[in-house]
Amino acid sequence: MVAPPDPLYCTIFVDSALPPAETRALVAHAASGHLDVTGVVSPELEVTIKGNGYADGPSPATGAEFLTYRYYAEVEPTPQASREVYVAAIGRLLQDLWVRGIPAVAACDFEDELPEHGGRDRVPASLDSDGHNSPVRRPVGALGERSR
Amino acid sequence: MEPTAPQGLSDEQFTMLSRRVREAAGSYGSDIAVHGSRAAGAATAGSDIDIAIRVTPGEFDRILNARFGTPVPGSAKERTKQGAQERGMIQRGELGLSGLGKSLQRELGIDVDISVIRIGGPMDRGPYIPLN
Repeated sequence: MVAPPDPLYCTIFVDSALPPAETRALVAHAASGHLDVTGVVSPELEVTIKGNGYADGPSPATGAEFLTYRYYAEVEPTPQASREVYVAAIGRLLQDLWVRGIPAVAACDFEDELPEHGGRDRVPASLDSDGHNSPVRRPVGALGERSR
Repeated sequence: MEPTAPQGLSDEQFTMLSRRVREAAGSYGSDIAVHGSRAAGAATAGSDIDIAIRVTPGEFDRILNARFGTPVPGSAKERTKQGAQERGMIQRGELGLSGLGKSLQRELGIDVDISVIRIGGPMDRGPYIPLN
């Protein structure tokens, strides 16, 4: 029998142009955490950053472009974190990534408690002339390319 | 001669991996195999171990609905569920197998990715090396 899902589990799709090790370090900084063997640990969050398997598939529908983002972060609460503290920490992580121009979208049961609904309605950042993410906003419908 | 273990794993490591995955993820199905670069013999030092739990289309839909439930319409979770359906793949986090993957990574020193794959779907790609 398949177990029911954990209502606190959260996937965050992250579109960083940086290589995996640097992206993990970036997320560790954004989460005010540290790196361990499997990912990032902060007082509130355990985050594992992996390549996004969904990116290698059919073109997503409009509004689901985040499925093609490069990284897939599995986020779970630490044993000592309350739900309230955990959700707030995810919100801060998302906002820190957005400020750096890194597109990130949370997919979970509490999206509507996160800033900007977890980012699902945010428009992706664009690339600057050097190929780096920049926080310039453009309409989603105008983007045919991935932001890296 | 058929390989007995995926590239980069000893027979002992593969036996341990097989046992642990079948114990923790066997509720999803019994057709479990390594695929990707370590099955194809094309792995590099940083390659992970990709494990597929191959299920029928009907079983895939059952697992998808059990693990995603009925997300809020228009939510990213709903769009992720739709994307998983289109791809015929459910990733490790949505399966509740992050802990297993992390535990195996600590033991093997290699990241272990585990997905449920719909047989005949776009992500059902061999070659496969069945778990012991």
